[in-house]
Amino acid sequence: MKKYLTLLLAAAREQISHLKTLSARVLLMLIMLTIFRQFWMVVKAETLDSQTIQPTDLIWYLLLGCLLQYGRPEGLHRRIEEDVRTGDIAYCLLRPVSYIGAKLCESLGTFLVRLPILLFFGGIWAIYLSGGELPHDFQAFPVILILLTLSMIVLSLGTIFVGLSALFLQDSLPLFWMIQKAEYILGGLFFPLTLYPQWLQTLAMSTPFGYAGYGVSHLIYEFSWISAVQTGGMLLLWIIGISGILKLMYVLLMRKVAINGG
Amino acid sequence: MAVKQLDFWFSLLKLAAKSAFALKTAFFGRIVFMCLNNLILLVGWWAVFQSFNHINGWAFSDFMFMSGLVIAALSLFTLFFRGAGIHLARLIEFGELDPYLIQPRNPLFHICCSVSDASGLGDLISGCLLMSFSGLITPGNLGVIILMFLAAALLFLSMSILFSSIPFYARDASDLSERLFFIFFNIAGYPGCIYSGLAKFILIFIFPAGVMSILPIEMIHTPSFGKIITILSISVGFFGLAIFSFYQGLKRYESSNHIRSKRS
Repeated sequence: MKKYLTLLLAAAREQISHLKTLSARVLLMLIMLTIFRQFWMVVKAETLDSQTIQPTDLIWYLLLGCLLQYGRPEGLHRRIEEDVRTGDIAYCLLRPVSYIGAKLCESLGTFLVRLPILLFFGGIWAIYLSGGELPHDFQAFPVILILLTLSMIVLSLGTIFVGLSALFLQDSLPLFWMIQKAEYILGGLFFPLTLYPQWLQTLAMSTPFGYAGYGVSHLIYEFSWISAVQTGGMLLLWIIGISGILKLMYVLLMRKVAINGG
Repeated sequence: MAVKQLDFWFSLLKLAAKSAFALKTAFFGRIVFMCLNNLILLVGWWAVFQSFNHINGWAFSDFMFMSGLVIAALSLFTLFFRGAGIHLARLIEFGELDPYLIQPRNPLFHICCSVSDASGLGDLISGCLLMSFSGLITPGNLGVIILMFLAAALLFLSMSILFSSIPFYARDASDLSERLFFIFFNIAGYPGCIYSGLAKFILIFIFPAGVMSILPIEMIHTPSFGKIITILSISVGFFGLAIFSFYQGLKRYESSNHIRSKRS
């Protein structure tokens, strides 16, 4: 466990040393939040009267989606793909840590440093955009942050899956784009899933994206302990499921490396 | 001179095509997944338009057309001038422009054409399909649409050169260049109807993502000579600014003295 903690701390330290990149991320997040808010203001002015979501709640909902999006490390799939394509992954056999575990710890370390910074600036901006109001279920924020971390783990495992898919696809980038768009749409990062037709809502909630995105973010305006526990449970199930698939892929990969060399 | 440059460009394209075909699964995977990627995004927006029917006067067909135009324009950039992106920014940041500077070719043109991405084909296919299915293309406006498409592609190239020139002026800025381009593309992908007043002015004349997302739909619904001239002038103007910014930056270029052979 100590080995993984060391990897996590190393990733966290690296993030702190890249403040310029981090500030660019903050800026990007604020711009996107402003655009989302502008979009929803226009929509609300025309038709949103029938919807139950209040503008303040919506801004915070979008902020949570942005935290998930901008808090994760970029290029993780690319680095894994490079390890697979160049055969460098063979060197990992010598290390006393699991390759997948190490990559997950790197993601977690990055997220844990970025989260408070993005939340600080994003929170101030969200309060400003919503005219000084806080969301309906603001007191549930600590629980939401824990669930958000679980979401991050689910999505990072998905990214590791994309990186390892280079073993079969040669190039993981197109799959990454597709998964990223599925995250936006099926995860409800742009639009709450309740706006979708029923079939699309059902489809979204049967993928890991539904619980990782909408499942967590909607708690900011519709919190209940039952929903929180259900979301947490489903996220844990997805973590176990995807980890199993990754383990299998890793075994296949190692077999290939053992036959063909690094 | 122009014929020589064109000949050179075709040679680079041939080389890029050969290299892309070398990994066949990856080549076709890129095209198919890129189409799926655009389809997923479209389904999301379709669901939203189903809920609201119209957004500030825009119907789903308007969004489809705008999206198609942006995606198709990006595909031209991706297919032919991908080198103007992060590749150029990294060359500048790491002081590795030398192999391009010592050749008799125009260095900027050479760098821009030196990278090509097959995923652009997927974008081109889906972009053209989206525009066609929007129902907004008529024989009467086809010429104008082609002009807007070329102007949008030129704008992508110009903004990419502009952002990639930042490392001439600031250290460790290649990631920033990439992110700025990403913001530009993202903003261009949102329905232009949501902006008004100062935001609209900024998005047309200062950070011209609106030239792709706002003006084309206005041009389709209320065509005017002034609008098409505005679109073309902004694109050409930003292209001029991008070239100027690159060559001004080149005066500040510091080589890493790390001369090595380049791939293309």
